[in-house]
Amino acid sequence: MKHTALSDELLLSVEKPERYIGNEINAVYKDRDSVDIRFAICFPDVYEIGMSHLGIQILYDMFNKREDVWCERVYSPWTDLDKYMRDRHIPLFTLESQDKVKDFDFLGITLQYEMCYTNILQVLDLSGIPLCAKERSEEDPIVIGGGPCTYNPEPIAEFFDIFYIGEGETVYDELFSIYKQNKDQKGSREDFLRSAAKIRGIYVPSLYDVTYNEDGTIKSFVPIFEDVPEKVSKNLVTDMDDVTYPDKPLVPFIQVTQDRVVLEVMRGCIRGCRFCQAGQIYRPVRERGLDFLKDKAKKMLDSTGQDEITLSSLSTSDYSELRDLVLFLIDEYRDRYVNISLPSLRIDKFSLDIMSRVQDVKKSSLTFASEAGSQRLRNVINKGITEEDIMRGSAEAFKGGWNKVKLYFMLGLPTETEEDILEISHLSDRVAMNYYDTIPREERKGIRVMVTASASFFIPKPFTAFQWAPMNTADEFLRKARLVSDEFKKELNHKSLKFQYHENKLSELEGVMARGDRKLSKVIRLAYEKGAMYDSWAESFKSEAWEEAFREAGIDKGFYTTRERELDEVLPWDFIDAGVTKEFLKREWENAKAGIVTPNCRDKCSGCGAGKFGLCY
Amino acid sequence: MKDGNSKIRIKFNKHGLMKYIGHLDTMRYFQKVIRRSGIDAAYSEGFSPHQIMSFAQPLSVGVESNGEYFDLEVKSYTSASDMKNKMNETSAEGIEVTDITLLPEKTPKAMASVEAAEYTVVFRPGHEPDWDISKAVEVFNSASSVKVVKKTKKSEREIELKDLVHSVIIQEKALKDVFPEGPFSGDIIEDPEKKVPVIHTVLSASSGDNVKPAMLIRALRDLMVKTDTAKDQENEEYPGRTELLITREELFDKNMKPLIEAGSTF
Repeated sequence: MKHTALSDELLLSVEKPERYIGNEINAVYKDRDSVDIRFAICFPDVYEIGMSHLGIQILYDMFNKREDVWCERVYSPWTDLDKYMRDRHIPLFTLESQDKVKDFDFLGITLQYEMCYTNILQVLDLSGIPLCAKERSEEDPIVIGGGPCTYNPEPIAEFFDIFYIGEGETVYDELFSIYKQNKDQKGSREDFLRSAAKIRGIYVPSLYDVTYNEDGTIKSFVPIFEDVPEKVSKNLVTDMDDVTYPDKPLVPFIQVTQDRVVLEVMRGCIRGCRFCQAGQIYRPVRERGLDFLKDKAKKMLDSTGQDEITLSSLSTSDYSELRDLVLFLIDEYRDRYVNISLPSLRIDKFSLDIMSRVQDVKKSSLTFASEAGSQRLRNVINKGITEEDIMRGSAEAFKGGWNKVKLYFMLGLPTETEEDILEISHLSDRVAMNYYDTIPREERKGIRVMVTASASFFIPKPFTAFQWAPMNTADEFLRKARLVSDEFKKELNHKSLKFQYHENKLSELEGVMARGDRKLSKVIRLAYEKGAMYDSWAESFKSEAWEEAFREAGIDKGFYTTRERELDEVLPWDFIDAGVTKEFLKREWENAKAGIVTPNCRDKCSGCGAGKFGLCY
Repeated sequence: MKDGNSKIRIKFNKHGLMKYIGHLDTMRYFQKVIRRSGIDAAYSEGFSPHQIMSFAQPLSVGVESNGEYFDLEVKSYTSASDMKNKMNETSAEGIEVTDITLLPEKTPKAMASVEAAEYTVVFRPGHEPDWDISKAVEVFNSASSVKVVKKTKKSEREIELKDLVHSVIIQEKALKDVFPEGPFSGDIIEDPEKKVPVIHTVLSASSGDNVKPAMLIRALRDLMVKTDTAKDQENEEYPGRTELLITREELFDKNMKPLIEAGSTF
């Protein structure tokens, strides 16, 4: 039997021991003595979330294809095991070998959302790795961060040796060969970091010095050595059909959030929604070819036995060969009872036709990401959808048998007025009304339409047109949400409407971290020491711990959230070259304020700067 | 069952790390094994078609087994050994299909067929009973009635354990023979020669009257140890799933025959 780091008795005492034992189908086991590099790859959240992440599946497969590397997984132990491990001084371990993370060469942590920051400290702490990079010794793993949050890694810069900026498929080979070379030459940790910093996309925070103005803004952000680049340029895959992608994804035993095979059809997005960070940092759009996708679909379904495949991208409707791909999958796998899931589709005749063929119309609901209630505000955020689109799409859907509709909105958008936000309620009511206008009474069979409107709170993100914009406070968010909620109660069709909104304090905190600087590491550390962990889980979010941490660190949240930044301010993430230029973002910020719409990349190039990679339309 | 379809019964064992996989996840696991191994399973009609699969008595997390069963409706089949090999080729370490039979048309579902289950129970090293378990078994076997209270989420009822325990015997074995491959992670065997009790029992396992081994062990303890009510409450789950190491050896039908008879194949 494979060995477990936790005792049998302990495994039987915690919730879902399956989270900690490995042994899944397609998990990779190697002889620890036959490899040169041991890499622990971590998603700092619970197993069910971490196992649902495509990026880790890609890197796990890519690393393990190398004979000299063994990549193993580690996730945040759930709170029950966390407590046991602290009480009994059990060090954190990887799922495959069950060896201590501390003994690995690398600990790679994916940073998918800001609210995982305290969980990073949990992982380091349980592993017995010093929290601060500068306190680490030659014995400790190199702690490397990747993923979208590295587009402003400054709040957590102190905790990482390296950030890998951009797409993971590109420069790890280089990084590994420098690592091996350095090891062979008996070089130090510092030597390695210094040479790693020369690789494209590799950011070593300890090699940069930040000074501040009296008002707390950044005065200068400069490398401390001449051979360390001033600007770190993101990495991206240039040919999506000639790049590694797993044939054999891991198959968990327990039900995870994304319990299906994931086929990434393209990267990037042609829409330039001004609030969306992913839409900017993954530019330019790169599609995968039909043949590549057909081949991967087959291999992944065969090797996993999964009964569902999902087509993934930021906006799958914009994938140019979508029709052919979906028809192929339906044709090929109908007899094998494979379910096809199509998230993020724009609702129109085509998508409704496809969806009615792959899902149970009566049970499923349709989603419109309207994002704002009024057309004026939709123009400000450059969300291409119009009320006409929503009405036409929902009418088609009602005729097709759907009677559940979800509408997504944001509260707290730049230039937002009370009139704009009340439109959230009015628009929802008009969608409900649309059902009764479209479907004659005798065909409704007593079924009432259900329109669920959800509001999240707008958080300005780096590398978007709104990176300079002020954000609302938690109190403002709540006031607005209540205003909308009250309006819903007054609507004619209020019995067919439901309104829900996100946790306001959590959104505020995410806003602080999203555009934060190095001064915040103190707050994160204090909050963690006061028990903050699993912040993205509403039930474990400890608002008080954070409030105390801010007070103790003497840091004002408003500096990061409500303050409108000057256009010439040095922003903490200015050292990153993400492709899109600051000039473009400034233009977009002006267009936003003037309510001017910018066409999508396919209709007209707006000169965002990502064209320099030579991959645009 | 649809015309032309057949039903097969699959026997498997569950050891090592797989003992941590719960019942529902084991079902989900086998659905995928069947897809991977290319077995021609039949699917239900409707918008979310699923394999027509029926498991016998669920196995608790932490319990190992040499005798788990499920029935599967198939559209076509090859031979028992071919299907067994295909499934085992794509299996996770710790689960192995050991037997497959073709069921006669009117066989009741695996779940409905189960009458009794045989278990081997040992105590986790260091948690051996401090009461005389051999004596307890003797008392139990000669008693005319042993009543216990069975608590469920909804109700509490007194049941006659003597009617539900087909047999219970006890053996003394050296620790090195109880754990030939060594103990579980975290357990320490100080003296491999030390003799410990090993309980072999056959318990009712029908859907209405399922008796878990821990219930029998606690009843045996109660025959030996007089405890006050307060302490009883506290001890209700002791010894329980972290102190008892249980292996289910076999499931039996109403004729007390294994759900797959040895040697039956196709």
